[in-house]
This record gives sequence, C-alpha cells and structure tokens, in this order.
Amino acid sequence: MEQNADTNLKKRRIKLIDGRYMIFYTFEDQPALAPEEAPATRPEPEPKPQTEDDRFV
Amino acid sequence: MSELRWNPLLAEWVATATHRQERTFLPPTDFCPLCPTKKGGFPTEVPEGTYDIVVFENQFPSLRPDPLPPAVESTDLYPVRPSEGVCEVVLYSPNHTTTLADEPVEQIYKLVQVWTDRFIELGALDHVSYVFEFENKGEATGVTLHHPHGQIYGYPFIPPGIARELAQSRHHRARTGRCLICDILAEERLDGRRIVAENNSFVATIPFFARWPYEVHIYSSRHFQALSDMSSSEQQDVAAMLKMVLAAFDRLFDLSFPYMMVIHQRPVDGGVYDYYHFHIEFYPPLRTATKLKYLAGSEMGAGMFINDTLAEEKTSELRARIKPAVWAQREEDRD
Repeated sequence: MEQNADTNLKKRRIKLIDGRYMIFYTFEDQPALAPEEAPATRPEPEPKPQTEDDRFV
Repeated sequence: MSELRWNPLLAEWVATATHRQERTFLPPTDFCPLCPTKKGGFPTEVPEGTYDIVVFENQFPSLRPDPLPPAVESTDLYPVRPSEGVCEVVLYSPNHTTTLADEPVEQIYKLVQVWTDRFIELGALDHVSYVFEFENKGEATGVTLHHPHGQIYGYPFIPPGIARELAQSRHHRARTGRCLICDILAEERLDGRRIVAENNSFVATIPFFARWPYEVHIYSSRHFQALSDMSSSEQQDVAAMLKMVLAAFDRLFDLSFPYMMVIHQRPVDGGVYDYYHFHIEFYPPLRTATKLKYLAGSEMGAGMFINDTLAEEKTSELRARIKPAVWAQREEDRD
C-alpha cells in the first residue's frame, strides 16, 4: 500500500490473472478546505431559444 | 498484431492494433466487464468494488510496455517500431449508471488527484514521452462500454496535435515574449462574450476559434504546464469548474451529453516546455439535440473545420445553464 501524506490518497496495487496491474485508489479524510466558489461569472443574457426547426433541419 | 507505422506524408505515427477488433462491444448492463464482480456472478475485469477510483491496464491496448516485435519490416520510406507505451483505463465509480457530470464535486476532485498521480508515475517511465488523459463519453464518440470511465495513453513520442500546439506556443513566445494561451485568455476575458464560467483559478470559454459548436476550453488563470504543478486549491478549483461545465452540458438538451474531453499538458521527455500552458478541451459532437457534427471531407481531407455555429451564441446558451458547484462539507458547515 502506498500513501500520499499530503492528500491522504492511498494506492493498492494488485496483479490480475493475465499479468496486468490494477490500482485501487481510496481517500481518507479528504481535506474539506474547499475554496470559495466564484459566482457563475458575469450577468447572463437571455439564452437563445431553440426552435423545433433548429432541432430537425 | 500491433505496431507503429510511419506516415511519411503527414510525418506521424499510426498504431495498428488488430486485436482491438475483438474487444467487448456495448454489452448489456448485466454483463458490464467494468462493474465489480458480484458474489456468484460472472467474473468481470474488476474483482473488487470497494474503491474511490480504480486504474488498470487496458485489456485491448494499442500501446503496451512489452510489445511484440513488429510483424512487418521497416524500409527507409516506411519505418516501423514496436507499439511501446501504456494504455490505462480509469473507472470513475463502481456505479454503472453514473456519469462524471452526475458525480459530486468531491469525487471529481479525487479524479483530479488520480490524474495527477498517473501523470507523475507514467511520466517517470523511460519509454513514455507524453501522458495523455482523456474521456470519450457516449456512443456518439464511439465508446464501446457505458460504465463511466476515462483512459490514459502513455505515448512513446509527442503526438502530432500536441506537437503543433507546442510549436505555436514556442513561436509565440519567441515573437512576443509571452505565453500564447495567457494571451488567448486575456483576449477572451477582454471580449467577455465567450466566457462560460470562471472561478478563482480557472476560466471556461468557447474560444473565438472553436471548431465544434460546444467546444469548451478550460484554461488555468496561472501559467503552469501540468497537473503536477497545481496547488491543492487549484485542484479543487479545476474539479469545481469541471462539475459546472459537465452539468451545464447535460442541461443543454436535457440528456446525458456526449463529449471527448482531453487534458493538454507538457511532455514528459525531459525537455523544457515552460512556454506551454495547461488546459482541458472538450469536443462535444452534438450541434443540436438530435444532430451530430460529423468530421467529413473538409475536416478529414483538408484539415479545415467548418463550424455551423457562432461561439458567442453557443456560449450564451451554455452560460445560462451554469450553476455553482456545491461542496458538501461547506454545506454542512453552513447548517
């Protein structure tokens, strides 16, 4: 088992029957310091309506 | 049979991989080879179901660490080399019916960390010069398995699409002293009409030169070259930006939106690429809810894309569907 102390990322590597590797990643106590989300950018103009013609032409 | 054949007309390698003809093709949900093996069920490729993300070598690789010798001889005009490299599959979840767009932002943050780990690990291999992380989503992009997954190719050379971006970036730096993508980002911000979303560290835009109707590019605000250059805060910000863009895609036509998503970062061949700029590109094949944008004569035969739409109008549609990504821990803190 490998572990990254900075991220609490854990890797467990196994060998499959045909010789290929498989790595299971798990995370423990994932840092909850989510950054502040900026609002969804700038003032939004009205979306362009999609007509039936536009869908099927 | 698998080998790399040189195309002297375009100066690029083509991989032959005839064994891929035999790969599983759109199996019924109950027989998905990427679901965890169930007790008493048929053995899938994944023997366990307790994981956040799982990565494994592709059963039908076009590149592999121990390739067989080429089946044909090289000539001066037609060099041939073994198809050496790596092909990995990245499962986003044990849940067959989810998509990256449906996953919480926390799970996408975990995926970003796994992408980073794979970039570092594969980038350290002598026979890998470029680590290419990507996802093909939806039958419209040619997926053969619906289980939510992406892929990673470790190429033994710098692929031509990346080489072209590197050359343009290098020439721009030599000519102006500035980064090309930093300048693109500045121009998009100045205009504003093609900005889809922005957070502390990333900007999503359908750029001026988009070739596909909903071709979103996500550029880092800070100039850096690779996933491994990101701070933890930037990793969380790119996860949040991916969540916002992916969810907005699904809201466009109220369907699970198909796309090709590719991560562009510096090569890992030991060269200096400080003029390059990390970014993510999406190529969604839909141009309306029911119509596909096909790559036809002009695109394939001449290399010139014809976009039937204006980036400014498509951005407006997509931006109207952007909602902020919500982190569960922050919501709990508020309660």
